[in-house]
Amino acid sequence: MSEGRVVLQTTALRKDFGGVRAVNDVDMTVRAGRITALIGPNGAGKTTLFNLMTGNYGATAGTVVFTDDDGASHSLVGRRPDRITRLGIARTFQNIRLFSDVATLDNVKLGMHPRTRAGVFSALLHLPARREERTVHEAAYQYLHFVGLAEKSHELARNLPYGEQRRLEIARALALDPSLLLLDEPAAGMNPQETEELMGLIRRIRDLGITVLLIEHDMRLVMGISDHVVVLDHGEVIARGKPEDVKNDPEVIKAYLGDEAA
Amino acid sequence: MADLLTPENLVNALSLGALYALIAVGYTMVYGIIKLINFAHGEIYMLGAFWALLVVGMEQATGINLFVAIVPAMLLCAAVGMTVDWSAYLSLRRRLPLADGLSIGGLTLLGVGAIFYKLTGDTTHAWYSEAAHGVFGWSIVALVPVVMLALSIGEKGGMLGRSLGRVSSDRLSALITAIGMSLILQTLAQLVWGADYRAFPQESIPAWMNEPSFHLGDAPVLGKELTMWVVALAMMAGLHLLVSRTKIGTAMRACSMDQETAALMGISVDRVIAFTFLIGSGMAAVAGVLYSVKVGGNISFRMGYYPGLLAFAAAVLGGIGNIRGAMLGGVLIGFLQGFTGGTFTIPFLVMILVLLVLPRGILGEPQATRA
Repeated sequence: MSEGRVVLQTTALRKDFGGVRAVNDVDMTVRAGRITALIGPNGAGKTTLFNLMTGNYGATAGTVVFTDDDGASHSLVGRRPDRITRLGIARTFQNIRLFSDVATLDNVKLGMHPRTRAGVFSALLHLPARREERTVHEAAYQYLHFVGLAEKSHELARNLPYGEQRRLEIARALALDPSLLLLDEPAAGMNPQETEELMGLIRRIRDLGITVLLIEHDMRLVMGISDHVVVLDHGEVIARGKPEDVKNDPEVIKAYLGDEAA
Repeated sequence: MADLLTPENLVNALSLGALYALIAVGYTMVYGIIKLINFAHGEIYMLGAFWALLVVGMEQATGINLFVAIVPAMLLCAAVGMTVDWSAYLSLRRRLPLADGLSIGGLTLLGVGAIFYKLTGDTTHAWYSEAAHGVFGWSIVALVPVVMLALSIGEKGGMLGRSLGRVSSDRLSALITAIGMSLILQTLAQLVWGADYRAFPQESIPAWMNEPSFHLGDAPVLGKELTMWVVALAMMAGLHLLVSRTKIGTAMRACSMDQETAALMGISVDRVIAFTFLIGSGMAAVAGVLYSVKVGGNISFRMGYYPGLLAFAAAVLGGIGNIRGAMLGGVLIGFLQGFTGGTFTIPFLVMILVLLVLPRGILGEPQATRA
């Protein structure tokens, strides 16, 4: 695999919660067109790192720089989540956060929100909004189809089984037309069959040219699809590299599986 | 009982229903998104009447038609509503250091305002008008920013803020700030325009508004009553379209469901909230103008208090956070008051009884369950 351009770069990124340092001077690089996995034991600071990247938390120190499709670099520290989303970073959540009382299709449409126009007057006058509405509708279907939920378009999000809710969240994130997709434990709660399908889905997302950064505990998934793995423990990067190298790193085995395994 | 069910009462009930519905949607939209009871909303309604009065002429008629004056009244109220949000509530939402100062400032103002209100509420005192317009009055106005600034300087809301610590929850701070905001606006209106009851000059009101347009039974329906009903209906329909069909309406619904996730959909939450204040305030302004025309005057700094309270009751009765609920609750409260000779007791009593059976209001959704 050739070295892709840098999409996301954190430098000496730090986050303190009161006296607890959740993320400690993390330098991390995410390269274009690759699947990068962020792994580590519970409480290692993985989700905190995600929240720093999406603007949900403000960093205590350090920088996060995102380079968009046009090659322009943007500092993400201090930027609001909605602005970061518009730059081209979308995410899913560890604990699924769908608009649960809304139909599956409408969840995806909400993801397309920044790209739609329908203003006050066009809605009142029924003007070109109609044409746009149809385009949005069709595009939303395409996203659902992509994750395999086309038949469930009219079901309420909360009525979907767990695994399908996860895939719907991915569809909604894709609808934002991101260049970087952050997936927070996408396989959590999935059975082996579903995880297998998810791996295929994540590969297809990468093949669309979308860079993927994911947090995952399922090692089969991580080792199966990642191009690059970063291991976090106690808020610090303890290892990084190709999956097979990281897998055999004694430091990682100790941190991740406990002392007995080492 | 039967003598209450008269056509006259029906006409009055419909007008009150329109009034409360127009104000209640403002309460409910703001609550739906930021979970705050914006107690300053009744004062926005009051300011709507005053802005229109300024345009058509407070002392001498300017010759401008009242219907024309509604437009600047709406715009100014929208600006005031957004300013209230921006100056008081935004810092609480963002947990800025200023927030502590503002909430304590609001608390201080509550006290100052209450004392001032008590002292000057009785307009028969001769010293009142001089004092209110004089040094005493303006010093209180000057006190507001000084107190706020003094309390908010420093890392955690200044000296007082630090010593009090974070004793209250964020929601409670916001609530007290809202009450403080309400008192600031009332007091300011009283200082600027005095405590007299005012009315729109007759020249500004088209003649047909005081003529019967048709009869309901044997009760005449005046043009101004019909206008209220029609305008309220049109605005409700417009609001419904706005919320259900437009991009900003979709964003509003998304924010009311989950603000954090809405932001990750690229929705600018603060802008949506500002827009919500804008729409609610504009509608309250219309209510303020039209109702003042209907009752033939009564424009004063306190005029927002009872309608605000009853509209709040209407929003709660219908299910706070639910726009259709606020419309329904507004009409219900209007009818309960209209058919009982304008009492406050019956509407509130019924509200309490309904809430005992349906704690989340008539159209309120059952407690959300989260996985």
